[in-house]
Order: sequence, then C-alpha cells, then structure tokens
Amino acid sequence: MSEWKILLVDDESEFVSTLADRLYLRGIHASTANDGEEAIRSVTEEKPDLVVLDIKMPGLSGIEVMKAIKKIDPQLPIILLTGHGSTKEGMEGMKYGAYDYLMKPIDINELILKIQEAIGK
Amino acid sequence: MVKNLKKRIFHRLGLSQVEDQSPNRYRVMRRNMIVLMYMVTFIPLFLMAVIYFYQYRFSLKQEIITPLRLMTHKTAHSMELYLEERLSNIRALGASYSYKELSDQKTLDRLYRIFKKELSGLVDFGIIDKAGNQVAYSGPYMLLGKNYAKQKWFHEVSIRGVYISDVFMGYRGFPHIAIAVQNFDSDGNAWFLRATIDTKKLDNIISAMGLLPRDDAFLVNKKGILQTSSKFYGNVLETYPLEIRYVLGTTIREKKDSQGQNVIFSSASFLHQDFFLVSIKPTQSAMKSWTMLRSNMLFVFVGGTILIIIAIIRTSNYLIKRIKEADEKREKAFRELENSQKLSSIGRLAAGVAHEINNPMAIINQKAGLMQDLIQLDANFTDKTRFLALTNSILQSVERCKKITHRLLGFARRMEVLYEKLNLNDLIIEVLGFLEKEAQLREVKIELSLADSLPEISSDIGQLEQVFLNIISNAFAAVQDGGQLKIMTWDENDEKVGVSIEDNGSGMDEETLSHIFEPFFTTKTGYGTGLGLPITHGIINKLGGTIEVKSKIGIGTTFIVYLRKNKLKMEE
Amino acid sequence: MANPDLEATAFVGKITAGVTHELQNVLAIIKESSGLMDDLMAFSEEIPAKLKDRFHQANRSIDNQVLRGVQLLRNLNGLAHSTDDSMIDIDLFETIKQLIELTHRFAKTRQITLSVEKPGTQIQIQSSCIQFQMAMFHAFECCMTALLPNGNIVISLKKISETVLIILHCDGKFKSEAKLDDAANISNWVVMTKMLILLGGTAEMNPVKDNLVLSLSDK
Repeated sequence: MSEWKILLVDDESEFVSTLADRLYLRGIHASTANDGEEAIRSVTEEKPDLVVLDIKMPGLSGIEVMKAIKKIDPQLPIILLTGHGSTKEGMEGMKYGAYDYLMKPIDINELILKIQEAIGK
Repeated sequence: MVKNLKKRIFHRLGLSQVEDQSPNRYRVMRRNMIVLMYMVTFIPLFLMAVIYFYQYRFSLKQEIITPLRLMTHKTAHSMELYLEERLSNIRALGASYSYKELSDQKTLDRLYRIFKKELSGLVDFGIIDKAGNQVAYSGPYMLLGKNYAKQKWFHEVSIRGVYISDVFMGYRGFPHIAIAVQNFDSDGNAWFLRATIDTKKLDNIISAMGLLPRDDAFLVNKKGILQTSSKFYGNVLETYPLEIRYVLGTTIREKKDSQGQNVIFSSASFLHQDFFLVSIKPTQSAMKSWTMLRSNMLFVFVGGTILIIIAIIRTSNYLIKRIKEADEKREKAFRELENSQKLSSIGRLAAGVAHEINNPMAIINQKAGLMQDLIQLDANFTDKTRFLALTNSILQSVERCKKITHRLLGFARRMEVLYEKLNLNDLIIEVLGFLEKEAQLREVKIELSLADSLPEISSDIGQLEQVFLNIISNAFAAVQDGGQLKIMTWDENDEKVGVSIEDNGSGMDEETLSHIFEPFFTTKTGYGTGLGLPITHGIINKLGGTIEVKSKIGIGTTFIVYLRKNKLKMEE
Repeated sequence: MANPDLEATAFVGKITAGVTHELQNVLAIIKESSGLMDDLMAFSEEIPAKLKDRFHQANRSIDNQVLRGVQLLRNLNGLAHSTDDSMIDIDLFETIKQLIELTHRFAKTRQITLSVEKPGTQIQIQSSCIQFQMAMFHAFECCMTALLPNGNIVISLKKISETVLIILHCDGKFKSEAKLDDAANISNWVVMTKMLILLGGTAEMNPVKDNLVLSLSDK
C-alpha cells in the first residue's frame, strides 16, 4: 500500500490537499492537481497507479480529462467524484471507462476500499 | 339560462372554453364553423330558389297560357263574326230583292259587281230555284244551269234556311266556303241565294294572330279536316294528323304533337258551326322566357353557392387562424405568468433549502469554533498551526456556504417594487456571481469598469437583479465560448446613473433590433417566450429609467441602461 | 402533451444546480478537514485523552451535520435537475417523498405534518417532473393553508386501471371552522389546477371526507 501513488484531481484545492494529507496518514502517497491540464501533465510525468478525478471542473471537463488519460495509459484505473444527486453522470463516466464513482462529500474509508480493489487487480 | 344555452351551442361547435390543447380542436372548430355557416346561408337560399322556381314557373306559364288562350278565343270569335257578317250580307241581299229580280242575269251581274267591291272574298253569286237548278250565276266559274238537288248542302239549306259550308276545294284549286240562304217568292216557292267566298280572310285573321315562326294556327272541322292550311300539320282539306278531342269553349293544354314535340294546344269552338280554331305553340318556345329565367336562376344559384362556399371557407380559415393565434398568444402569456409563479415557487423552495442548510452550518460553525478555542488555549500542541489551519478551513467553508445561500436567497426573492438604497456595482457583482460557474466553464471573460464613487441609488433590488440577469445572460447566450463581456457603470448626471453591458457576440441586424422589446418576439428557435426583454423593458420603465440597444452584426451588442437615482415622485 | 416554455425555469434550475454543486464542494472540504483533524488526533501521542475525546465528539457532530447538509442538497439538486427534464417516468411515491423532505420547512412553520404512504405496488406516471412537482407543491400549500396548526396531511396513492389518484387527506381542524373547500387558499388552488390541466389531470375537493384528490392518467 505504501508503494501506491495516487493522483487527486479537483478544482477545490483545499479539498484535495486535505484529502491528500489524510491519505498520507493512512500510508497512501497522493499528489494533487487542480485542473485538467495539470492532471494530464502529472499523469505523463509521475505515472500514478490510480487517478481520483472530479467530474465537473472548469476548463477541461472531467470526462475530457479522463479520455486524455486513457489515451496516455489505457490501463490506468480512474475513480470519478460526482457531485450530483442523479447517478446519470456517474453512469456516463463508466461508459468512458471509469473504474467506479463516488459522490461528494466522500467517505474516506470507502475511497480507500475502492482504491484497493482497483489497484489490487 | 341564456348563458347555459350559449355555452351549449359553443360547446357543440367545439368553441368550448375548456383549455383543450389538442391540435384537432381547431380542425373540428373549423369544420363545424364552415358547416354551420354554410347551412345558415345555403338553406334559405335553397328554399328561396325552390320557391321562386315553382312560383315563376307557375306564373310564367300563366302569363304565356292565358294570353294564348285568349288569343285563340278572340281569333275564333273574329272568324265567326266574319262568317256571320257574310251570312247577314247574303241574307240582306236575298231579302232585298225578289226572285224575279235576282234571277235576271243582268241584275245579278250588276249586283255581283257591286258586292264584289264591297265584300272582300266574294267569289260568286248564284240563284237556285226550288228544284236545285242554278238559274242565274255571276262569277268566275261556268256553273250556270248546274243542278244541286242531290247535294247535301241543298238539303241542309232547304231544312235549315241558312247554310254555311265547310271549306271545300273550289274550281281552280282554291278553298271556298259556300253560304246559302233560303227565301220564298210571292208564290211561296223556295229559292236560294248562294254565295261563295274564299278563305283569304280567314287566312288573314290567322296571320293577324301574330304567330311566331314555330307557332301554328288553323281552322279545323269536327272531322279533323283542315279548313285552313296549317304550317306544319298539313294543307287545307287534309286531315289533321292527330286525334283532337273537341270540346266546347276554349281550352288549352299541353300535349305532344304529331312529331312528338311538346306543344301548348289551344282550341276554341265556334258557336254556330262545327269549326274549331286550333293554335299550337311549341312549349319550348312558349316557355322560352321561362327557360332562360330558369337557366339564369340556376347559374346564379350555383355561382352563388360556389361563391358562398369559397367565402365561408376563406373566412373560417382566417377566423380560426386568428383564434388559434390568439389562443397561442394567451397560452404563452399564461405560461410566462406561470413561469414567473413557478420561478417564485422554485425560488421559495430553493430559499427554503438554503435556510435549512444554515442550520447544520451553524452547528458546524460552533463545533469548529470550539475546537479552535481549545487549540488556542492549550499551548502543548505541536501541530498547533496545522490544526488551526484546519479549523479555519472549516470556518471559512461555513462562511462561503453562507455567501452562496445568500445569493440564492437574493435571487429567489420575488417582490413588489421595494425601494431601497442600493449600490449598483454591488448588485451587478452579485448578479455576476450567479453566472460565475458558467463564465468559468465557458471561459467567458468579463471586464468590469465600475465607477468608484458611484452614488447609491434608490430602487428595487430584486427587480434590478432580474433586469441585469436577463441582459447579462442574453449576452452570455450571444457570445461564443471564450467570448468577452464588458460592463461599465458611471454617474451620468444629477438624476441618473448609467450601466452598459457590451458583448462581442454575433450582434443583431437592424430589423431584429427594431423588434427586440416586442412581446413574443424571439430569434431563438424552439424555445424562448420572447418575454424576457419586454419584461426588462417594462421594469426599467416602471422604475423611471431608460434602456437602449446598439448592435452590429459580427461585432456585438451593447445595452445601455439609465436608472434614476431617486424614486419618481409621481406614480403611474 | 404540451411542453411549456421552461426557459426561465430551466435557467433557475441551472442556477440552483450550480449552487448545490458548490455547496457540495464546501461540504466536502468541511468533511475532509474535520476528518483530517480526527486522523491527526488519533496519531498524536501528546494530546491528553480528554481533549482527544472532545475533539472527537466535535468532529463527530460536524460529520453528522455534513450528512444532514448532503441530504438537503440531494433533494434540492433533484429539483434543480428536474427543470430540464421533459417527459420521464416518475415514481410517485419517491418523488412525493422527496418533495415532502424538500418542503419540510414549510410544513414545520405551520406545525403541520406531511406524510406519504407507500403503495403496495410501484405507481409510475409519465410526465414532466418539474411540472408534477410544482403541481404537488401547490397541492400541499392548498391543504396546509386550510388547516390550523397541529394538523396532519396524509397522502395515499391509488391506481385504478389507467388513472392514478393522489389523495391528500387533511386531518385536523380547519381555519374559521370551515370545511376544506372554503378554508383552502384560492390562488394555490387556481395555480394547481392550471398545472394539472397541462399535465392532463384534474383536481377535486371532497369536503365531506376532507380530501383533496388529484387524478392523472398514467399515459
């Protein structure tokens, strides 16, 4: 678990940084990105084991970022964070190849479980 | 009750007041309207046409038949008078001279010459003794000495005293009528004066009837033998080809003639002789004026009906179209009203939720505050700063939440015109706040040039928010992603402040520009009530301000709004 | 079925959706921050247990409030997103339940309770979600304005062949000691019936049974 590298992508910087801290306390390395471009750069350079991606961001949308990441590394598992009451966007994300989705605000234990599932594969 | 009746009628017609949205409704209405209007105009027209038809036919027939009958009657009467006259002439002659005198050839000749001049149609005179011998004769034929004892007429005149013959073929092939009168000499012996007249006068009388080329009139005797020449049915002394029923008096009826034609057949009997004057008029020609009238009527009727149908259909189409348009406009207006009500409903709901969110937020605030206090009080913390940062984060989030809900509440407010002192710059920034996310997502750049010392104005916050929301969101709709908006405010003069919202979107042409404040005018296909700008315009007016638009295709649009600093003194 | 112009309403829906999204983010931040504090507490050895306890309690509380907020936002979000829906399948029970939760405050201020009984089998209609909710909201208001405090409104659902009945039974005393039809607010009634007509339905008041009955076809 301590070898895992996670990339967290969300435009709310406080959210991702706090979440990264919490994951670190649990032994998971997490780097952050605040927009789609940063995220793509990060994926190319740092080659994380998994990406946690917010679906609704200004600039490149979550779906677009996901498509771009898939191009770089098709095997890279992506967990989407949706903020919507309906699961429509989550389902749509799954269509484009997301591993799973979680609704904000997330439960950190649930997140870790999903990460374990995804990377463990 | 009248109201109910009206309702029922309208309901029958499909012009019900119920909000039936089906498109069929108009088709049904149209059909019903057309049928009703057509029946209302057509039925009377038809009835009238039918009544007139029969009425005229009857009258015309009378108009044609009555004169015809009269003519026949009069002509027969004329003819009879003529014959009677001739008879009395001969009688007078016979009574004026004795047998001795008249049997003298010279005397007879002389009298013949005189009478021939006076009596038209006289052919000859003859004096016949009681034995039937023609003892004196003046005339063109060689009849002197002829004996008539065996002849029927002789027999007749011996009995009756007078005799008018049927027409017979005289010598040289002319038709004649013989008139004979019995007289008695001083010895009591019978002698007879006989005159022959031609039928020219009769022919003349018939000519004088004024017959039309297809009409015919002739004299006929009881046996059906023509006494005068008929135009179509034979010459004199031939037999009339059809059975004639001889009745006394003058009759007139429709029959078929020998050629199968429909004719009006009139016959008039003579009082003292077995002659009948027959006049025949082909029905067709007699009724010619009727036929013409009838075809005129038919033409008018059919033409009228067609015109009526066309007019009704056109009118109905037009009316229904207008009704439909009016309905649609009304519906749109209703929907807009409903939308604003819905807006307020959603607004109220949103406001309700926003209020509710404040409760948990308040608790979080408290807890975070408590934690902050605890940390600050205790000096033993190593991670003090970190913890403080986190509690701060929570407290700031609560603040942020407050701001967000405040915006939503402000947005949801639907109000009466509530004049308050407000800062226009703040209001505009608040409105922009709603569109922040969209601006970010679509990367629309907003350049603000808000006057620093813009004085506060007295106006209605909610309605101004609606106005600027409308204008700014229109601007958003007009620009492409990555487009630009420029918003300026300034102090215009003592009374007014100005706001301009400029976009670099597609712009509008002059035609569109002239209509944008019109209700229901919209260039957005498929949706858009076209009421946003008119309402904006209305609100600005209500607040005593003015709104202008400038636009150029391909360059962009600028809205300029002038608002009063202070409330208008007069209402309305 | 008429699909009325919802431009303005859709816009409000969009605004609301934006707001709920942001609020969700805010809640997420609060939750993570609180969570991190808890984590740090757990790891720290120098902080006395008593203090740890108090912090833990505070964070627990914050967590609960976050959950509460999440629930509220879920309902509001549903409402916001339903403004851009056209004809969809609506589960009556779920939708009405959600709406009751959303309008909880309105009922609370009047001290009236709203509840809906789950029908034996799922009852669905095909309609415009936002319009239906609006109509229901006004139906609620209609009944609530008629009742005096401490009243109850119990909603039951029935399906009879192709017609769906929504029965709002008003239990309690009415204003001015009148019956339901006299005490109810006219403007709510008018707006509700108008919306119902657009949905192809009707409304009826039964003052004897104290019921407001809405009927819709399941299309």
